[in-house]
Amino acid sequence: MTRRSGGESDPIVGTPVPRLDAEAKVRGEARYADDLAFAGMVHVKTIRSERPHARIVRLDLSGVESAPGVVGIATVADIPGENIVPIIYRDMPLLAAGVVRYVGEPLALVAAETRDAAREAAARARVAYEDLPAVFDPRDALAHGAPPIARPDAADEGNAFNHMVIRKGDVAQGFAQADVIVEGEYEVGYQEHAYLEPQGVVAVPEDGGMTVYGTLQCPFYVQNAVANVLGLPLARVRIVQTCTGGGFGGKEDVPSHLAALAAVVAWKLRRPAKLVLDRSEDIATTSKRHPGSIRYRTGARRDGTLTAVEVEFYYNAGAYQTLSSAVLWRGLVHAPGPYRIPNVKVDAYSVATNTVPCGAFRGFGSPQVIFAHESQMDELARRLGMDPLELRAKNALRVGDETATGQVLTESVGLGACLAKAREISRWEEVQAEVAAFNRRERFKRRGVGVSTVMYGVGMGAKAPLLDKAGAYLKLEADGSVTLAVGTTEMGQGAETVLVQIAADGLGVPVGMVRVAPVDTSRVPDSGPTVASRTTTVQGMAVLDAARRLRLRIEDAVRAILGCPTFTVAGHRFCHPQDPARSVSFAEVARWMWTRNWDMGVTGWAEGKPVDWDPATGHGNAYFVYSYACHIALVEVDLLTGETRVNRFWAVHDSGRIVNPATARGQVIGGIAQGIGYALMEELPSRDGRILAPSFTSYHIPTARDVPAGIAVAFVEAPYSGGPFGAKGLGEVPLMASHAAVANAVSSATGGRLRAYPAIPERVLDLVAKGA
Amino acid sequence: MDLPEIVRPRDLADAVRLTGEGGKPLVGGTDLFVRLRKGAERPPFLVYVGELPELRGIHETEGGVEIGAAATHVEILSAPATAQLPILRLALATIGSPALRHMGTLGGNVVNASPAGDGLVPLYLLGAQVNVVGPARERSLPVEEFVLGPGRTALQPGELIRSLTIPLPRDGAHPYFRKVGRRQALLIAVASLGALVWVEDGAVREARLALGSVAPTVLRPREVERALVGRPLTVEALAELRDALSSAVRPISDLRASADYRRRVSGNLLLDLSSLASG
Amino acid sequence: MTLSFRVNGRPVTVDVPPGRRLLDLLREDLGLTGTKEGCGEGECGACTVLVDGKPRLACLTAAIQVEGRDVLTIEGLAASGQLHPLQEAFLATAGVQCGFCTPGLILAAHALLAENPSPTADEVREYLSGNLCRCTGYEQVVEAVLRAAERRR
Repeated sequence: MTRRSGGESDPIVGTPVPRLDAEAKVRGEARYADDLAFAGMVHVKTIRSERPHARIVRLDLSGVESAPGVVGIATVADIPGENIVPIIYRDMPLLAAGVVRYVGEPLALVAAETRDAAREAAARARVAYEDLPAVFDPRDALAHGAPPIARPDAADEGNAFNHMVIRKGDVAQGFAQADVIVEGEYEVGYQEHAYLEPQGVVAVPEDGGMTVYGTLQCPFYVQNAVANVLGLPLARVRIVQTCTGGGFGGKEDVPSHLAALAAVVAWKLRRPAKLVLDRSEDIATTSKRHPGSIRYRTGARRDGTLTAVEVEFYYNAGAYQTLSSAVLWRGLVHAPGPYRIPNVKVDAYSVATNTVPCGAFRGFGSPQVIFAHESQMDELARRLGMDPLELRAKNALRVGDETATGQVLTESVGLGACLAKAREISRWEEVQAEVAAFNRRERFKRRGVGVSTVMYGVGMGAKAPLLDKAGAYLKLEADGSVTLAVGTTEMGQGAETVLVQIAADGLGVPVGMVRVAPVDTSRVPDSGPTVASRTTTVQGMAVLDAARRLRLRIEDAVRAILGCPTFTVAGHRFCHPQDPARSVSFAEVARWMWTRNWDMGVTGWAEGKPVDWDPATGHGNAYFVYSYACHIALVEVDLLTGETRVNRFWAVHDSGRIVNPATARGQVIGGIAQGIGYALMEELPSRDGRILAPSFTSYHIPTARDVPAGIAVAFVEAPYSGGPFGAKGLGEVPLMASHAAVANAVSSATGGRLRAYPAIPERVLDLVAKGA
Repeated sequence: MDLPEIVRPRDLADAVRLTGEGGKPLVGGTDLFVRLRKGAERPPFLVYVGELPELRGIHETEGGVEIGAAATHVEILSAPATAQLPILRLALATIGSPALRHMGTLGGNVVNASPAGDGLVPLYLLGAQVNVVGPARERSLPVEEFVLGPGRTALQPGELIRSLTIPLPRDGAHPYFRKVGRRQALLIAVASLGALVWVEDGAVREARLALGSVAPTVLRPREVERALVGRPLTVEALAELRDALSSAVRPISDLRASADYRRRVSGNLLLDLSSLASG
Repeated sequence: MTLSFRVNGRPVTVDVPPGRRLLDLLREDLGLTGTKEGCGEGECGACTVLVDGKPRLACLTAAIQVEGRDVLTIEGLAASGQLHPLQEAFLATAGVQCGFCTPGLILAAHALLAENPSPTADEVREYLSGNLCRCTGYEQVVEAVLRAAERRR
């Protein structure tokens, strides 16, 4: 599908419109959660479990209540509704009742006049525990006789929250046809979101209900959770998103829990209640990327044609389901990679352990298996003596191919174009030669080049099709300006600007005429969550739908004003086709509509194209469309220390039509930085279910000196007929592709094979020793 | 989050008196405030000595440089007097980040007595003296005697560091400093090596080495220093001492690295001194 | 404790508890919420402000340490209403995403350009290495600082 314009002036979609929210941010005027204050506001601190698995024998809060500055406390008894934070399952209590299942699980709440007073009071809680057997590793949790952690009604079997499969063809036969088979086991640990703005909410009792302001991605999730714990109808709960300082999935489900905690306090005390986490509480007690243990076996013919892949992987979900079933499902579907493979067998498990619940993080269960499948492709290439780009190109999915889940790709597959473009912009052959020359010259340094290719299913997919919808409300003001309300959120990714571009082009007005209202659940229909790189595609279609409806109404008005069935457009004026002197401006049309009591507000609606899934076989149209990418990294390794440094990077993406090249480039480079962190440095050690060093002093994310200068970003735009102006999703893809390219470059430089993240100097020095 | 009460002394004598009453001297706050926040330390009050003129100057003395305890890293890096101490500048330039270097002080680095203290490595190499004031007297002791262990120093109750005196090394020293870790900035060293090497006629005439993060304190491996004398700065010659240096260090395993890794890297870094031969 | 200093060019005198952090003094007592708390222990740079033109982390600075000094926060950069060239440059290069680190980055960059009006890209990265950003990957931030430096010449 090609772009459809409102029919006038220059197209706005496809141009680098400056971000609409940036000026308030550079002025320091943007209001984030902790910047809000209300009269009479109390500060809430959560009293949390210190044990991984224990019965609560006694919870003594007398010292807390009598501490200076304390206004009140809240316990399970103060929850007016149900003590459950509903996410996908209904297994997680708001406050632990009787039993705690992870270190950091909320037990009770204290509210005080200041944050310091709340913190000091919380430290006075005295809890008597009776320890229960605890397990921290998925293998132990699945072993016979392991203590039960998962609630039976929230688990497939025992502590296996979920077991999901793909069965396609016959892998035994596929491996029999293979000339070369590679096998490997891969381990990855936690990744912490490290959004710069910590989690925070303010719950304000008003109008017999509750309004919650907060840093969050999914206002309708929060609305549901708050209504559930307060026992209120949804209509009495309003969620307003504050300026959000990064999410990356970390503010998908967690704010539901925090908002519900704050709401219980606010409800009980009848005062606004602020709950803001400090960094260490945020790292220690909120969701992270699932640790994984992954086993792969891949077979290919001598010419590189893949014949079979067999995968088994286990994700450590933590003590409650939260989003793990959805995370696992995305991992399952993405495990075979963007390749044509006739025989596929995947077994995926998410497992309950006595650890902090893991959740959504950019890529959502796919980066772990991507590390593995892209390592396998490089191992195959080495065994076959093939160029790793060529091996990928040979097997890359094309239009008409069938994916591992049996889905036939009917349009918008830009993977081959990505690979070709990556080869071109990286000057692939020359770079290889330069690296070889460097490696001959240097005694204590080695360089390596690594490639990765990925596919990404846009939207919620067949596991949660009910959520793939979005509403938008457009209001034409009497002066011709336009107010847009949407149900998905801006968290830094640039959604607001992109949606305004779509609205402006759909209406035929300049970007400056459209303003986005703060996201507020009372303004728009439930639009699903802001996740899964779906905002531009699904929310964008809803905005476009609203814009087109409004445009039709405007055109009716133009015809009535000009007294003529047709008209022409010049700039922002509508003209009589025979008499160009007779014309009317956009603002005059709006005024005319207003004076005649026309309805100037419209609601747009969109939902993802149909998807389907058979859980028994893992067959189905898993997602309505896929995005693709190819990344290439050049990494230098110090042979004396094992230190690494990413020197150069090339990234090519097919996300369909790019609505805003400047913000899209920012998404790509930012995702690459997170991937560099995941592959090389981000590590969160824990012992017995306790995060040992929850701070930025120990959890290292890349600084400006750790991300290479001059990252080359290119887009090949294979348009998608179901997206606004042909757009598909982008947000998660750069992270998914980048880390595996870095990992492959490290392996190439050392001559060894990296099988665990992160490639910290110690691990790399071991690889050097083995590779030598 | 509020800190303990902070008082501003009138002069150095007042600061000594307040310190004697249990006050904790505060200068940059870059480490102290973090420890207070974690509850690792709970002093009754803080004594803000950062603006006492007696603690602030950086000036040349007979044969050396005296650096006030409250001089910030950036002030030291940009002071003309330290141009003669390139090894000090090399090490200080790797500390934290620009803002932290504008706030933190070398005196603070010494009093923290962290084995990972980047500022301590050059002080060990240069044989710096720590000048201490207390209620009774002033005294001066070598940095190696001042630092007793991780976070432990020879400071007596009521004493505070006034300044550091750093003797100038003999002319012709090649300075070397390298810090190892998983990123390029905002980094606490997993291991570090500082060195001053004098080369004459292609062979080492004198070598001083100091390693950080591989022992309870910064470590001078004196046997290896002596063994280097007379050798050329070639990879092959240095490699012969690699194991000796690995055995000289006494590292621990912690969250950042294993003892084994620290031992291996200590030995390996010695080979990197070959880069001085061309420089 | 009564404290006098200048904030964004204006003299202020405040009565604060004797252990007040500069960060809380700015955000809570003076309502200058443009300075952000990202970690509270000097590891992220979100609370960077300029004290007498030098970058300092407000989370590791006691209020008493700015007595008699000149503090510049993000709100003071465009005090007259007109955006500062650095702010304009961050808009032009798309150097802003979630924006939480942006005030600290801009102030650090401001200190850099005062010290070094024509930095190289490497010097910009080095000077901003204490300001963590999780969104941008820094490239467009570096472009913003170089652009602002160029515009000033």
